[in-house]
Amino acid sequence: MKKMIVMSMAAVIFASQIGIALAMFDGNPRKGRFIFRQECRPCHMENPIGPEPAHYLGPDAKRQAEWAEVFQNKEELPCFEHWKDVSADDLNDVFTYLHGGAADSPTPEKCG
Amino acid sequence: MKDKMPPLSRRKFLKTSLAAAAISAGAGSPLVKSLVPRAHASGARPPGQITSHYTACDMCFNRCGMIARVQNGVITKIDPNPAFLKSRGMLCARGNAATKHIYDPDRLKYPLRRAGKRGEGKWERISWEEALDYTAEKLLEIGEKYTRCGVMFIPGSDMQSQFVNRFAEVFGSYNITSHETLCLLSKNRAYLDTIGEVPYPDVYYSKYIIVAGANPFEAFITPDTMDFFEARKNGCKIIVLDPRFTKTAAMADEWYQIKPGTDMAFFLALCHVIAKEELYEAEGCCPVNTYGFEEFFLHIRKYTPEWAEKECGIPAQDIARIAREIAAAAPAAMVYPGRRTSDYEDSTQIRRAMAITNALLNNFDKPGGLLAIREVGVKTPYYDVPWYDDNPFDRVEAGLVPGLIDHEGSFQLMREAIISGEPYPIKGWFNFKTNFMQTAANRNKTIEMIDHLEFIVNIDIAMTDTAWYSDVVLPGASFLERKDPVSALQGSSACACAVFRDPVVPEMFESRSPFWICKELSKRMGLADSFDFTIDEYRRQQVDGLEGAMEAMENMGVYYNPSKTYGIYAGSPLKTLTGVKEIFNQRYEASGVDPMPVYRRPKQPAENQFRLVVGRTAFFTHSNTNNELLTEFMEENTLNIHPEPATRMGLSDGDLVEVKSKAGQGRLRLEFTEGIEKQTVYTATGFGALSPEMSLVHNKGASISELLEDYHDEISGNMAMHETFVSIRKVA
Amino acid sequence: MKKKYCMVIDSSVCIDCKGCMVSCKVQHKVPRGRWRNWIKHTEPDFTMGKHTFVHFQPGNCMQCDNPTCVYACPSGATYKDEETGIVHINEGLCIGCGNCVVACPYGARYRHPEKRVPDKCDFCRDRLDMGLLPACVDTCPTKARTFGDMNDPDSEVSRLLRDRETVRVVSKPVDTEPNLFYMAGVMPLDWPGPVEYPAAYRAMTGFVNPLVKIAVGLSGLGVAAMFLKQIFTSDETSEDDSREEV
Repeated sequence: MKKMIVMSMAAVIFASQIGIALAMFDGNPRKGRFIFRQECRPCHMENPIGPEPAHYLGPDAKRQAEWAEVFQNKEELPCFEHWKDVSADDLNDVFTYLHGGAADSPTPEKCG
Repeated sequence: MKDKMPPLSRRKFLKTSLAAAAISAGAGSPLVKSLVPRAHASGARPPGQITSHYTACDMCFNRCGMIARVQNGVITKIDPNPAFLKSRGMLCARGNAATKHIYDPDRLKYPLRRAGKRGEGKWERISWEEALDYTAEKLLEIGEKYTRCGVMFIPGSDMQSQFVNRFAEVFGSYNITSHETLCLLSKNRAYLDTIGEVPYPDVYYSKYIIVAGANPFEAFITPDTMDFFEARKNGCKIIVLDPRFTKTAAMADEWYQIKPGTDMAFFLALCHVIAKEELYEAEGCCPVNTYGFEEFFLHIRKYTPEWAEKECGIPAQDIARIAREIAAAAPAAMVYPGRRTSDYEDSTQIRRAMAITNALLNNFDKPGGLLAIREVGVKTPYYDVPWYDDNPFDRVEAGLVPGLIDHEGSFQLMREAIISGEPYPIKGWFNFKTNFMQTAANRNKTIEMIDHLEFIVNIDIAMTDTAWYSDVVLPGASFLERKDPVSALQGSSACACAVFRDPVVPEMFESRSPFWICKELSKRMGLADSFDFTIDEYRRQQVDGLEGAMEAMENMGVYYNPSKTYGIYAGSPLKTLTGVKEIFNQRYEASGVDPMPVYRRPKQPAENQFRLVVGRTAFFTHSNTNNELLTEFMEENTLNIHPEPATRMGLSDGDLVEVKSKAGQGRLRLEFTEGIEKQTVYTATGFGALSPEMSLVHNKGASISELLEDYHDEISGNMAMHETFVSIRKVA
Repeated sequence: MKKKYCMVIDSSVCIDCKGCMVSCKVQHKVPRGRWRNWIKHTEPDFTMGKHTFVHFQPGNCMQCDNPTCVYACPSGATYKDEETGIVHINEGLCIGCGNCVVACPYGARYRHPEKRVPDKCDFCRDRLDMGLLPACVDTCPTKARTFGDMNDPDSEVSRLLRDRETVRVVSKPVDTEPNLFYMAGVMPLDWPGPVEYPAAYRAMTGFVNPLVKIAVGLSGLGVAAMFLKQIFTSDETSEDDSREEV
């Protein structure tokens, strides 16, 4: 277990730019929040209302490294078809938002 | 005793039926020593009869369960809900005085619009229709002229605050700030940056507790306040560090009159002893489950108990002994995290030193230590937020401090930004039940901020000082008149619970709930979709999937979720950057902040000057002082001072003095006590109101907001209220 | 079976929060400046350094078995209820002389400014009728007060009186035999005042030995008062029927 922690530590440090401010990446986290709520939340909220209900997702549902992984391997996601409609800029905003409020971020954020 | 029918009492005593409490309490939880009412009354009753109604208190932020007794449509008495474990079935003086909160002769009765200058007190009565139309028009106008972020929202800390917050977000402003930015932000920051979340202290099962920078016996934090006594019965030792002889100090096993602002020296020295003597648990704690223990070991070499004694005034041998005692009691031992931590410019670092001490005690997620956040299961109903392309990039005070908590902000820094107009203008203020004119340091600066605003709308139950300076004042309904959404609460290890409120009596006068107000405004602003629901529908979404929750809240006044209390992490990584407890914080280092707490000697008052500290009594919450039942204990605030310096200055007990700081001045009567450090003076919050409609506290004593200078915590932006020096002069 | 209500108080856990005082004040509509209960305290001795302490002591009418207030009442308005042990005031019989107020060494009685009759703690008789604990006991955060029937051997108070060492705070000149029991170690103990009987009584019994005066003269009057009270108030519980259970 100890080893796992050390490994995940390394991954986290590698994946995340260390800084205490909320916005860690160059996107606009507030616009990212808006887009996330528009595009992803209907299926990913606590009481999903979207076409393909899935489990809750908000920034605090994953660690920063895990968000980085999700975005790196987005092709593997079951809802990837839907992602194609979202522009690269918008995706960057969404990532900035999720990463900035991740569980291990300085200010974890729930997406209500 | 149950069988006989005595002449006096024809009713049988209901022998403490703790069944309800015991079922949900689980093993080991203390039982509530009280009686439960026979039935939860409902429906119409003949006149003269007493009905009972469950609700949750709102006289502070703890939301203790209560039962309101109603006779002839009037609330005559409020009792504790014995089944409410979070408050251990009690109700404090404040809660008992809620009858005078609802039936306060100073209550606002109908909407008002300012007719004279701000603060002049000239008002015209307007209809709700007009008040709502006018408010909607002004908010839209400001949004149009200065972007939607041109309105500052302060939603309060109420069970309906979430609706004000929602309204702010659907309106399109992210300049939302809170009362917490004058309160507990420094502690939250420190624990987030050390263990990745803000823990709850498990006082009940603790064996050794150091209380520093906290006064739980007067401030009332449920269930901590009561649990100290249960813990003590089981042999817990309580050490209190405080420049003042508070009631917590008066009942501690040991009280040390620490020099103000030097707590960090004490805790670094404590860590020094624990580390040097290897009193920590090497297997499960250090260095394996911490980050930066080796660096810390070197870092604290110089912080010896002998060094600390010179700084904080606590004998080195006591520091060393306490270190050994608390380490021996660990992990069922703790440094109490405290609550209001808006004290010093380095308050986050002071609390970091305490959090690190807790890390060395290895007490997180364990009985008698610090508890992780438990699952209550109450959901947050979803809503869409709009996006305005012309909105600025970030909050107005973003980047001014490195550790701003985005959803809290910093009122003090926002105030600076509003006055300077930089980086962009804010011209509107939507306020609910927050009285920064009385509670935020440097009132003159708040007035200056107000001078820069074009429109202020305020929802409150009475004409507070902040309402007095507003443009539109909307009469809010008291908590006893409202239907409120579900609120999730954690009560230490006692419970993870949820409560809601139904109206005990109808809304009085023309008062209305914030929910109704937001709903009506949203209709007028093209946002109706966002408030297209009833409270009942909202509650159902909140407790969706929580079996029996609604019934429990209806029948018992509270729902308990039997979620896990200890070992929640069970080996999985903490929510910190490194996944372990961060003694060394790399994010701090990257932001140019000391990665480990570095002691800084506090500024010292000049001769014949005093450090002003503030605090609260067991019967007032902040500026919630205008209550006839409570002012009986204190009609005006006084200035506590040590007789030695006072006598040297030719002052006597009871003298009226002028207290002066760089921010302002006020008049207070001296109250001599040896229970205060000699260069420190203390006064209570909530007096010296400017508004004559706070009739019991208007012109009584002095307001802390007038006297305190505005400093802020360099990391979190929290207010720093103990950095002000005052001079004292006798009034002829 | 007759009841004998009492309170057993663990003053070592009292934090002087005033919860009991406000609860009582609201329950009984006690006017501003007057109280049916109190919290006394010791003065801190700061020479004790880190061990400096304050001991708080909540209290109220002690429902004494040797009730000087009852003896002092000329009209029988103040009486001790044999069924409960509670000392009551029948306001209809009260002539407002105020004798009972000064006869109480604990200052437990005040004269109601509007009603012109004395008022004091009655262990919340109305609440007991509803199956509720006295207001101060119910609300107390640290549960310093335990209330119950000491004639019932299974009650919590009986258990505490059996298992724990308790003391009473008593007026030095007269042991009024209070029914408020404190856990041993309670402080302060020196605050109860003297028992003051009205001048008329002193004149009446002046030629008798002062000790006999108290023992015989006044208790005789007290007995008479009890008797009168029984005549006038034997049906006092009938109002109970209209009271709703809650």
